[in-house]
Amino acid sequence: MLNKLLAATTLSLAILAVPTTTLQVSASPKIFDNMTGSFRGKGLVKSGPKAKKESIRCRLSGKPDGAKKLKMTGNCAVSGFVFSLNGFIEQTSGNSYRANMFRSLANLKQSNFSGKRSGSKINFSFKAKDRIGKQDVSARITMNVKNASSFDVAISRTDPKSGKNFSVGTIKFAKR
Amino acid sequence: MINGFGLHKLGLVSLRYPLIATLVMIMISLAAAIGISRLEFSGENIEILRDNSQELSDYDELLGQFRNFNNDAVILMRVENLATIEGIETFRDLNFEFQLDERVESILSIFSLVKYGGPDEGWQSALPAEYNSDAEVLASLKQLAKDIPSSQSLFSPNFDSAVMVVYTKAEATKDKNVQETMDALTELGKEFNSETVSVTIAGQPAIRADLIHSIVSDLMLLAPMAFLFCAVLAFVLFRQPMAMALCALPSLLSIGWFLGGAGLTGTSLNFLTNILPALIIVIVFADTLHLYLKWQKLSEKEDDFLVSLNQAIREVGPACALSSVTTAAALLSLCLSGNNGLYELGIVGALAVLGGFVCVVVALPLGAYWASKAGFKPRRSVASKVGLIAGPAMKLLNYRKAVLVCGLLLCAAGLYAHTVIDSRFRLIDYLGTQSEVSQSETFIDSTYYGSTPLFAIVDMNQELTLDDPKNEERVYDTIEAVKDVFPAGSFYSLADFADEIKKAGGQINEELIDELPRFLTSRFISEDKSQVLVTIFSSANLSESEMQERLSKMNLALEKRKLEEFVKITGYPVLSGVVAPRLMDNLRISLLVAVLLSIILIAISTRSIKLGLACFVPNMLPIVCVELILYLLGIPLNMSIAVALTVAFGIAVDDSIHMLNQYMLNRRDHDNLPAVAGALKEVTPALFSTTLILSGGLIIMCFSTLPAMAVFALVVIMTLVFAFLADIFQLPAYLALLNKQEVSK
Repeated sequence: MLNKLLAATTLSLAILAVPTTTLQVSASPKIFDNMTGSFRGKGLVKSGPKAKKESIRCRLSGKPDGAKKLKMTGNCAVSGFVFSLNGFIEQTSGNSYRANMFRSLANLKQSNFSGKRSGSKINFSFKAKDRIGKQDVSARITMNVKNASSFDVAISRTDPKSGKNFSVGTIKFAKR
Repeated sequence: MINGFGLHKLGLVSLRYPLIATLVMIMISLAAAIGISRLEFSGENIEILRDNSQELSDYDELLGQFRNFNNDAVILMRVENLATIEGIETFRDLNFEFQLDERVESILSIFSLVKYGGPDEGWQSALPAEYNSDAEVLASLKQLAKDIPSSQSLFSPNFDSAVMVVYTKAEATKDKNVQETMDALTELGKEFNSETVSVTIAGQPAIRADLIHSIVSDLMLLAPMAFLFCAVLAFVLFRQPMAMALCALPSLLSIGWFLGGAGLTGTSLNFLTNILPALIIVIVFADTLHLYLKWQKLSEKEDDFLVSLNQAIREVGPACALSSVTTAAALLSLCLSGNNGLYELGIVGALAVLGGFVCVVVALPLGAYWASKAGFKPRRSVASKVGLIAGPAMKLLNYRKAVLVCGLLLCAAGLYAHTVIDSRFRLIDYLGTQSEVSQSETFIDSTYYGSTPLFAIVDMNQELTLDDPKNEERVYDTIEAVKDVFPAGSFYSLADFADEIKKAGGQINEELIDELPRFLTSRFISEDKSQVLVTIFSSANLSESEMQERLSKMNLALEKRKLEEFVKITGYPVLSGVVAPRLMDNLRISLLVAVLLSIILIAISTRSIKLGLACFVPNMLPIVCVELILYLLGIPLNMSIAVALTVAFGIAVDDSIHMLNQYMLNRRDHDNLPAVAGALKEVTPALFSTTLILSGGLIIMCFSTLPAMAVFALVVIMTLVFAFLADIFQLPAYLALLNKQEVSK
């Protein structure tokens, strides 16, 4: 159960990066418009390279807070656990963004992170230390923004034991 | 004449200062209107059962040490076939929808069950994240039942339904929020409804929300209906709109004062006090009728309306006062049950009845005063024509000894029934007949092990660590004891996880538990880790004997393993199956106390022990006759019936008081037998009319969506009819046998 919690925390952390990276696709206020509203996410994820896949569901709502800031509320659930996604995303300059919406994640030490856009796909990565396992969590999130009402999030992360990268899974978001 | 403790003088004073009295009545009514706007409703049922018993103390310990299990709702999904991709994925989606709702803390379902997959796979869901065929779904569900036996309490063996326990947040299930929360969750479930799928909610929060809904709808529907009935009947009897308005006025004021008083004092209406509004309306109306009939009769001989009004208050007021006091005393006798809910019902009900008397003795005379000033004169009523009904009773006076013997025999048979009749408390009796919650509860009880858990609290040896073999042995021995009584798969505990951890070569310990969220661990272990919980799925709708049987077997199984001093069995089923029936037994005792108290009050107010005793059998008969009928029909005593008998006795004794009052008035100028016959002739129309009115008013309660309300009304009606018969056939026989010297003039 502990490992499950650790995995879920990492997954949640990865999911949290979604709005940030989405924001950078067009690097314009239009993205904020696209992110405004309610989204449902659905997918399969796994906690380790050899672990079985788990179902995950998310709900996200975006609401503009000024021209360069988007307030996000919502949560994600894997079997037995729910993680909050409350916070905000802010455009700091050009293609650079800052997000601070992860305070409710009790098991995360680092809650501020930033990322940059690259072409039509967005690669976002972060490193954080988990409170339970005390281990470094590093992950990569690849965004594929299909259109204004849907986007996919593919998550991969490093396995702390082997140091190798493995695919956590993909979550498909669609506007409600 | 009967002494009404001087309470009737309130009416005389009001007539002396009509303007001031009217203004005071208006002021009180305005304050009541403010109170009504603040009126709240409660679906609470644990507090209603609360007494000082060990069972309640154990239950409090459970809620304090672990979590408030009363906030747990049960979602039932009925589906054509769960063992198909469509069926299981629909349930998975439903599961996630509830899990992601902001009011929900966590969920227990087949999707939250985990198993250890070894060092590489770690902890994972017991069910696969996706399926490729229906056969795969069927195989995985069968495997789940085998691997985790407790999963059998989460889906039906024939795969036509599945349940999930929704642990709601405490704030979401407070009285003021519970209905909104359950409405929202119901709507969430309805999104999944289709031709092959239906989603409904059961469990404590749903029951509470449903109770509140029923209480509100009953108040909005039944009280106005009862009021309308009384008003229409008054019109039929008196054929004068003003007479109808005058007779309806005290009832209207009394219900307003009652609801307003409850609102101002912060007293919520619950499923017990819910009976009071309609009851108060008809009780007050019956007393109003007595007073009005007397005024109307005196008005035929006396032209000065003020003189006839004062005289009517002097002659009938004391009897109305005494009848209100005895009804209040009967309600107060409920306080003797030592139970919170009945204590509140007793106090609130007694105050409401006394408030109702004030409305009768003040509002009616004041109304009549102002109406008479405006030129109103009461007409002879149709009620007087029903005096013919006294004929058979008067004839039976010639056979009074035989009548007495019959009454005594019937009383003895009834007393036997009183002692042997079974008791049962089912919360679903208080839910609407068409209630989805009630239907879901019934389905869950029949298909699963029930929606309401029973708990075995196991005390750990705190000198040892949690994972010490001795502590471990105590938990596993308790589980073995549970297995002796309850079916496999109907319970779960920390041991299920400990077993999985052992498979991985690990050991459950305090550190591991500390790392998990409290909302998860609170289902299994107390915060200080001094107690471990074994949760057994059970029903809240078992009869006393069924629950006692299970508890006895469980205690034997614990004793066999020398665990009795370390393990407590508690949970709502214990409260409903043991505490509530005991409460009903107490109610039966308090009913007898009410009878004795009323007899003493009658003896005091008539200043005659013999007159008090003369009322004993005639007033016992209605109650024991109803119990005899229930016993013969095999209907167990429930809380509504027990309360109904007590309340009905309080009302029924009024007939005796009015009969005695007239008898004593007649004794001023007549010998004993003519006085009895005269009283019969004089009072029978009023008794018949009030019995008819009360019964008619109460029949409206049978239209309640709550079966318990209908039962309550039927029992009260039966008691009133028996009381009427006892008062015109039995009481006169006793009075006729009295020595005239014993009767106070």
